[in-house]
Amino acid sequence: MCWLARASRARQGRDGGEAAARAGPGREGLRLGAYGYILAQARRNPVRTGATIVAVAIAVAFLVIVASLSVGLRDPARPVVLGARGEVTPVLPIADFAVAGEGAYVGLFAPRLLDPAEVSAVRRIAQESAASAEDIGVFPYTERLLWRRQLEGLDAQAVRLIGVEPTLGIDAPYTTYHSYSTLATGRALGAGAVPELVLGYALWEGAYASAPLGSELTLAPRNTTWLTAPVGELRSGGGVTYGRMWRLPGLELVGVLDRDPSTDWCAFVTLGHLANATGALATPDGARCEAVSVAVSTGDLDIEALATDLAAASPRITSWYVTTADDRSLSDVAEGLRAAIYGWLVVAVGVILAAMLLGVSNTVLLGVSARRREIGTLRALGLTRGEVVRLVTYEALFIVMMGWGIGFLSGHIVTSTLSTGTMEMDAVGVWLAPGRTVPWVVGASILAALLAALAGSALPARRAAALDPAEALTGP
Amino acid sequence: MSERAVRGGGDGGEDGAGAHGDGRPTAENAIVLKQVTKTYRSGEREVHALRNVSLTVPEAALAAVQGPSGSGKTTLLNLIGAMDTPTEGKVRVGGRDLSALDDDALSEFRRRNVGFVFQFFNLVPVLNAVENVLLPTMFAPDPPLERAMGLLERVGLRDMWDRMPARLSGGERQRLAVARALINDPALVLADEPTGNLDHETGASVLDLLEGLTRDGRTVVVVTHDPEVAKRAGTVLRLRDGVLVGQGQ
Repeated sequence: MCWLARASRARQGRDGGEAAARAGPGREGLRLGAYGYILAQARRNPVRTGATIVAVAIAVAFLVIVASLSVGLRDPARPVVLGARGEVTPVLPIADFAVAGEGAYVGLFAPRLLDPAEVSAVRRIAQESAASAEDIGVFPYTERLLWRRQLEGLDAQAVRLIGVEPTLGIDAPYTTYHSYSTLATGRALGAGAVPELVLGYALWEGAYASAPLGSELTLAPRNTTWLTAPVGELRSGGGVTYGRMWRLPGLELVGVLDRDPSTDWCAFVTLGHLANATGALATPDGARCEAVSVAVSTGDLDIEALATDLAAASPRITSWYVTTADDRSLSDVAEGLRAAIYGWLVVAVGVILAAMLLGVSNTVLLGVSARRREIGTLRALGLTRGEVVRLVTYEALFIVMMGWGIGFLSGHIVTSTLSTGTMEMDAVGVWLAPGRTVPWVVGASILAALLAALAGSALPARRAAALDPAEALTGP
Repeated sequence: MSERAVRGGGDGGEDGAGAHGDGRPTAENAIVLKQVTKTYRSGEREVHALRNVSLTVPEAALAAVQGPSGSGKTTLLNLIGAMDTPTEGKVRVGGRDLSALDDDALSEFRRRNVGFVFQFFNLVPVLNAVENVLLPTMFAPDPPLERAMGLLERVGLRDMWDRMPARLSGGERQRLAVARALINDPALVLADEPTGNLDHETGASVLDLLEGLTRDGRTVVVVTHDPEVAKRAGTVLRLRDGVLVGQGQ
C-alpha cells in the first residue's frame, strides 16, 4: 500500500487547503451523516412517508387509548376508595358541621336551567354559611373544572357543596353526584381529612314550588325531606329505580343498588355518607330509622363485614340488611369484563403491530426499490453491507418514531379528554379511563414501535444490503 | 503515444512494481491485472465479460479504457474499483490483492482508496452540493465539512455549495461528482464515461479536472468513447469482446 500512502501524502494541501481555512457554511442546517441523509429521504416522497407516519401515529394512538382504558379496570381509585372504608366512622355529623364552621362552601348552579334569582340564592346561602367570603365559591355546575380547582385549593377540614343538579332532572341519580363529589372532596382535603358532604337536598321533591331554593337550604339535616318510606317497604324490596340507583322513598337513606361492578366503590362512598347520616337523621314525623335495607354491588367486599362496619358507624340503626344485588358474584362480572377487554386489547395490539409492520415495511421497501441505483452508488462510495442495513433500519426507525411521537401525543390527549369527560358524566368513567396515560403504556408503545421498525425494515434492509453495487449501477 | 503488445504474464513484481514491456524503467504500478477472467451467468449461458486480461497502469497516470459497447470496459472498471472480484486471475491495486478481500474489506478499500465518477453523476437529488460531497463520509464521526468546501472550491463550485443538483448544469453536476469522489482523498479515481453526457466544451473542462488529479499523484482511469480522452491519456487500454487488444502509451 506504499503507493496509496505516498500518493495521499503528496496530495496534502492540494484539495483546497487554503480554501478550507476560509469561512464556509456552518454545520447547522446541513443534513450531514446518516441522519441527515434519512431526513432528506423523507422529503423525497413526502406523501408516502407522511402517510406512513400518520398511519403509525393512528396505530400508536389507538394502542395508547385502548391500553389506557383497559388499565382503568385496575385504576388506583378503586382500591383507594375500598381501602378508605375505615374512614366511615370518624365522619363529622352533619348537624355539627355548620356549628364547627370549619368547612368551606362551594355553591353550584346550573346556568342554563336556574334563573338568576336562584343563582343569587345559592350565593346567599353560601355566604350565610361560610365563615369568611374567602371560603365561598359559586360556579356554574357545568364548569366543573373551576369548582374542582376551588376544592383542591381549599385549606379546609371539610367542604360543603350546596346546590342542585337540575341538569339531570328531578329524578336524577344523586348518588352519581354524591359519590363523585365526595371523591373530589376527599381528594381535595387529602389524607386524614374528614370527607363530609351535603348534597342532594330535596329542592326538587314535590315541595319545590312551595320551597324555593334557599328556604330549604338551612344546612340542617332535617331538611332532607325526600326520604320518607316506611322501613317495611325496604325490607320487601320496595322502592323506585332510577337508572342504576335505587332511590328509597320514605327513608332517610339512599343505598346504591347497582349491578354495575364498576360503581361498587360509589356504593361504598354513598354508604359511608349514609352510615354517618343515619345516626343524625330522622323521618319528618320524628320517627327514627331503626332498620335499613341496603342492596349493594359489593364486588369482592365482605358483606358481613360491611354490615358490621355500618352498624358500628351508625349505632342508632339497630338492623342493617345488606345483600348483594345479584346472585352472581359481581367480581366475576368485573373479571369477565376485564378479561374481555384485555382480550380485545391483545387482538388490537396484534392488529396494530401487524399493520405498522406492514406499512413500514412496504414504505421502506418501495424506497429501497426506487433508490436502487443510489444504494449502488453508496456502496461504490464505500458503504459496507452493514452500513446499508443500518441506513435502512434508521429510515424505518425515523418513520416509526415520528409516528410514535404524534400518535402518543394524540392518544394521550384523547385518553385524557375521554377520561375527563366520562368522569364528569359518571363514575364509570373513573373505572374505564384512568385520566392519565400510565407509564407502562408509554413503554409498551415505544417497544411496539421499535419492534415494528426493526421487523418492518428487516426485509428491505436485507434486500438493500444484498444489492450488488456493480449490478445496481448498471442495471435499469 | 506508443502502442505496445499486452504481456500475457503481467508485469512481474507481486507488488506491481516493475518495468514496462518496452524495458523503460517505470515507477510503481498503481494497477496490475494478471490473467483476469470475469464470467457472468445468464440463465444457462455463461457470458465472458473479460478473458485473460493482464495489464498495468502506472501511478499518477491518466488511463483511458476504450472499446465498443459490451467489450467489458465497465466490468474492468468495477474490478479495478473493488466493486467486483474476478472469476479467475488477480487484481492488484496499490500492491493490494483485491481478489483476496471479502465484501466488507472491499468496501473499506473503496472508501479509502477509490473515488468514482459516473456518467449520469449519481448525485442524491434531495441533498445540496456540499451534502452530496460529504455523502461518502456518512458514517464518519465528524464529517469533514471544511475539506468538502475546499474540494468545491477546487472544482469551482464553492459559491454553489447550497444548490440542489437539479439547479446545477450538467458540467457542474459532474464537477460536483468529482468533488465527491475526492472527499476521502483516494489514490485512485475511476470515471465511467464522465463526459458522455456533456457537450464538448463542458466535457473538456471535466477532463481538465480529471487530468489535473494526476498531478496530485492520483491515478485516474477513465472509461470513454471520447477520442479526446484517449489523446490526453498516458495509457490507453483497448478492449474488444472482453479481451485486451492493446495497451498503449
